[in-house]
Amino acid sequence: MISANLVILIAVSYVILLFALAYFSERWAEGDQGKFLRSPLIYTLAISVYCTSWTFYGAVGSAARNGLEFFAIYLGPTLVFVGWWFGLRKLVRIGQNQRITSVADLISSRFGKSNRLAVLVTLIAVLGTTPYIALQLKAITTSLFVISTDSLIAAEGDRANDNRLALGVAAGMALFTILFGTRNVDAKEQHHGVVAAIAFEAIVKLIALLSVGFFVVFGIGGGFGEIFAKAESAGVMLHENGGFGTRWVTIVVLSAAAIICLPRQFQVTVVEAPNENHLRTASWAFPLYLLGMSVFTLPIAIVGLNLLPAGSDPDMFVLTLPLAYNQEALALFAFIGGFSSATSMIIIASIALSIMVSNHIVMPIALRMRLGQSEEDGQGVTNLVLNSRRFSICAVLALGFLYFWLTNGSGALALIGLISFAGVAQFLPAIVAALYWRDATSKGAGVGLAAGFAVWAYTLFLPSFHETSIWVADWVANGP
Amino acid sequence: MPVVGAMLVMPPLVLLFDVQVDVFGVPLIVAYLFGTWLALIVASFVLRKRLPNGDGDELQMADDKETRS
Repeated sequence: MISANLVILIAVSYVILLFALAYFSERWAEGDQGKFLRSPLIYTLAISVYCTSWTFYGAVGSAARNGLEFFAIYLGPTLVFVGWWFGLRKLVRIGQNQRITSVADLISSRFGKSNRLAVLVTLIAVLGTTPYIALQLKAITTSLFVISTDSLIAAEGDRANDNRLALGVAAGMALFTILFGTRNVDAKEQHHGVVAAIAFEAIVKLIALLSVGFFVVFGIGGGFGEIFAKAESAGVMLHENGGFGTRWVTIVVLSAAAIICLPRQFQVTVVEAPNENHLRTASWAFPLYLLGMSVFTLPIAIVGLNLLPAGSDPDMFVLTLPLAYNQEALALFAFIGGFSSATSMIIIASIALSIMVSNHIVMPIALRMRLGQSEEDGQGVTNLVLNSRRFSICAVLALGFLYFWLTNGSGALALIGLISFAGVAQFLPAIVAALYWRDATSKGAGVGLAAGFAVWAYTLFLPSFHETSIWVADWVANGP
Repeated sequence: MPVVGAMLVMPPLVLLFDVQVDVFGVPLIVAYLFGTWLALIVASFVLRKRLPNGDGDELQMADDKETRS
């Protein structure tokens, strides 16, 4: 058993390490060594911010519950990246030429600089990302709980303690993001330091997951063949499961949409892209990274179901399997891997959202209110932008915590994540229209987005509160 | 290529492999999905330098848009 304080200490020192890394690469980015930081390799690793703790912990849980379904979540992005030369390249090219800073900026500027549209997109993005951030908070708190109490059964835990921990994590992440995301205002909105830190985290989480996978498959499972032979008895149906119906297709399409539409993916793929030719490398390296992340998913799920006592939380198999076999160092490494996949998502998502909120909501209001005053130098505006960003980062993380708190951290990781995917997928028609359809009007895009958002909010976002609010539960069961 | 890939992992083609057969102890469907995945990666790796710059792929674009919607 590892004490909670030690784990927290390790997590904090990991964040400090990240901080140092981001700080120094920010400096290097200006000099000659900067070339490496703008290389296709770093770009690809940064894109793998797609693999959050949902991938790290949630994929195993989803494999244990729904069999092959987790494949769909990685096949969608693979198809998009393999076909980079038609959609993605145009997106990146437009993003570079027009200095696009966010999804909201792209959609509004392609439809005649409509600010109303930008505000709508920003709202959808913020609300759509909220469950996703809550998912990361839940993963961090649950994993911390599991590793420090050694409990294999998914216990209820101490709610108050959980909430306090989640609040602490959210506050720490807000601090880190503010320190790095808002040091200066750059017209292209690129953050080399942060991207370097994210790339480093991508390596950490991949190695962590692979080492757990190796241990599980060859250490305790006895090779792939033996594990798959036990699949049926574990209840994972791999043969003739008929799981390739509408749900499969839907998830492939949703995840393909999400790799473009998620604010954080848009940020790293389009906004932070140093060069559109980097896509050539990313087109094969990113799918390969995804493949690496999911090779061991099924075996871990099967072994976990077979060897761990019934009632263990499948979302935590990556941690509980090493723990059950007294591999504390490995479990700690796995915890760091999960922690880094969660932090990288939180950092990039809150930076991307803060850019949107400050550019499209705070700034227009602030400029309108100050219309009478004359601003002699740019310093005032710069400070205003930076402060509005800092404020937005705090607000975004506060919303994530609020969602975590209100939903009581309930539900499987993959379930919460899909709500987010569906939310941001509303952008896809507007983005495709922005790229290819010259005659599309801003009114049409606005109405489409608003309708999609309303349906999503009513059918997916609202019901996610049903476990904690009697009013919502009643509404879901009986209608309004 | 993404069109072919999409067809391969979508029903009805994927259903062909959803049967009670094992390849080297691994269920066929698992082997098939990973195999397709790997094949797409390799194809993409081979093509990465060959594809021209520019927007001269309008025809293919139209094709792909249909399959995506």
